[in-house]
Amino acid sequence: MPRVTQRSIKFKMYFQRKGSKEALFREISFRLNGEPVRVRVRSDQRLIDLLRDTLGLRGTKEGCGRGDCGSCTVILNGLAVTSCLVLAATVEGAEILTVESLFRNGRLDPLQEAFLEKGAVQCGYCTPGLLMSAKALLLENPHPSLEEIKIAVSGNLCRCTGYKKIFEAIQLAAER
Amino acid sequence: MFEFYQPSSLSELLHLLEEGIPDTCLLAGGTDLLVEYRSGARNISRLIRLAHLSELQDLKCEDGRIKLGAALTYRTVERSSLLREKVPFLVQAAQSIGSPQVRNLGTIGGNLVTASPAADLAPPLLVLEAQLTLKKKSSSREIPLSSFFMGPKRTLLDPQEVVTEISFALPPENCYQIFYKLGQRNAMAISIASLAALGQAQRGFLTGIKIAVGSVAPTPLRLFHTEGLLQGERLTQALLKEANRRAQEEISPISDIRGSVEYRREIVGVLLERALSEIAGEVL
Repeated sequence: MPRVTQRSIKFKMYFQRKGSKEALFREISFRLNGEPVRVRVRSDQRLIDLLRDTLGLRGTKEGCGRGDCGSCTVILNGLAVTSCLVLAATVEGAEILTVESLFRNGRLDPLQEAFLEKGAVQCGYCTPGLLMSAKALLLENPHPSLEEIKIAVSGNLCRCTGYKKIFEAIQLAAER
Repeated sequence: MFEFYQPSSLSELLHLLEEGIPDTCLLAGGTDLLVEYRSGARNISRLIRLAHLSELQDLKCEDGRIKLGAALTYRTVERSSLLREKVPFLVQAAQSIGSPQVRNLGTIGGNLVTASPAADLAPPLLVLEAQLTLKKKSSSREIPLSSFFMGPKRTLLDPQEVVTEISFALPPENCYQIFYKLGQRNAMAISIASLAALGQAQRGFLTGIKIAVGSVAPTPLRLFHTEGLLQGERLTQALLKEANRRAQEEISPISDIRGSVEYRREIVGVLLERALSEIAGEVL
């Protein structure tokens, strides 16, 4: 893959320019879905790559890779963020929740149940991001208004259908 | 790949900047920088994070001035009761930026240092006559925001400097505060044109009028000549037309994916007339 080649060339050039190795990699510790994680990351690795490639949590999807679509949304210290815009090295000490955290002890989260019940899913690619934006909202505000729901998911694009069933599902989950 | 540093204090950050390594970048929210880096548009050899520094998180009102740390996120601005009360139009501008996810990461300092002509916080901060505090290891200076922008993505900032604070005097209590942004949709839209205005009408006469626009010139722009025309006048249909003509001379929009030159000119006129009518209460 061309991008990999380009990176390794950059990498070699870097060492020829006598870069300091400590600053190129970093050992970080954080909590992921409640569990402590300790992992070595590259300085330019994004959180989405750390989650999917290094840690094997593929529930989080990459869409645009530039913060426009919201499909890679995770919860970082209680706040919804697009994990394509976060450097892995900056999450030292953080608490991160991914869509995998919603399924606990063999049970779906009320949000997931509501998405199923309301048919708020078509192709499903945007769903993990939408679930995490909705989760961040409900963690902060368990009884949001429709307007607050609309704002909370305004950074998540769904290209299959409208957002009506998605709003309804989040309302339903909040009612429960 | 680049060296990554997460300094534990502002002085450590200034020390790292002082070393003068070419292609050193500061990382605040990263919502623009990381996209640029990955697209190949920007080389980074050393990246220094500042978003976590407590010295850059001030949010206070002191001696009639509001002081904002440069690393405050849009989210913090949106939710601050002080700012909601004193400068609601700045809060409105912060709410209009990107998505909730971006507002949870992006910082007010980053919005200005990126120097996008479409920076949404710039028009309100320009009419508030905001001052920026720029620090480097050996010195510190204050400059007005109006002289900070040099062009698209270019500012007065030295490579070894960092913006630490944005401050402005509280606007008069009974002053109208207006922020309009026109985008292609309500959420996640980059401005086609934006306008911020401050001012009031006393017995029908406009006073303290300040106007700034975004996305219609190489930098966010204060419309000094248009303001000069309006100060102390009664708002009439003829004056509105004249103000629009004057504003057209001050702006220099380009055509891009979001809008054409002609459309942007038209829209600035509409936003300006709307703002002035609101401030004046009536048009004679």
